[in-house]
Amino acid sequence: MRSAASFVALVALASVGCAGARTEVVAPRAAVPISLSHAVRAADGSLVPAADREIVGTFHDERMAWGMFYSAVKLTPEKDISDEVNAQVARVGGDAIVTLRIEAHACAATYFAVLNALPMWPGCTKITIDGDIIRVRRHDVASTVATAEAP
Amino acid sequence: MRNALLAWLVAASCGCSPYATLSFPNVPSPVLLGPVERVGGATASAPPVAAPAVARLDVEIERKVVATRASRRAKLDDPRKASFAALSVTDAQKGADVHVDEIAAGSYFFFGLAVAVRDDWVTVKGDVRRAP
Repeated sequence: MRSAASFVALVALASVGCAGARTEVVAPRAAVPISLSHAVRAADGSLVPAADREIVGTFHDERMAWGMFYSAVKLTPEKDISDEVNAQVARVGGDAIVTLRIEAHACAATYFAVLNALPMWPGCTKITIDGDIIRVRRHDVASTVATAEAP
Repeated sequence: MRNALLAWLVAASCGCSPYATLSFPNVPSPVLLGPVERVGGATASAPPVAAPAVARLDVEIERKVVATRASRRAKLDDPRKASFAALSVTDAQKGADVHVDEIAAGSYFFFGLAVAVRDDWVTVKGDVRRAP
């Protein structure tokens, strides 16, 4: 009888679980503007018009965030994308990243229902970050004057 | 136990539906992450001379599925929700920039005796400042 109760308790315990993870996306050392909208400002503070920009590449990064103790403990509290931003923008000669999109979803380890009952079992979240790398056409003073004086 | 397994199957098989995705496709002003404000490398102004915040953006995009043996309820926020929130706090003005100070993303999966819950979410918080 006692062993049956223990078995039932064990089954019940193994039937309840939770796993997950969370993180913060940061870019404190990014060398170029990163905008989550399509808008970005030029050096003079004006918005860069669509005609003065061209998409020269796409930014893509995937990160995994981990947590334990039913997601209460953050094993990866921050995800710094600065290095990836600087490297991918430099690779294509870009000036900024626009329309940055951030997507989150639970990864496979989170779905082990029985193991989720264990507080030590890790949960994880896959973070996918995408954006457009743009290059801005610069209008220097000389070319502006030449254009203005042309017949 | 059978109910729980069915709920697990229903909730876990929701990978075919869209994920929680944060974006601001229709906002006319910059929504900036990081220290650089302008093309060419101008960084955010030092705090004493920075323009004061005129509003605060705080929005979450969530996808949540609650499944039992008998039912499955899915809540997926409109992907335009973030844009609407940004347009609201900036008054859709091009002269106001959003300076993001927090982007948090996460998920969890809860598995109970007769219910399973899957939740994916991305939140963004930031100050709205007049562009210099």
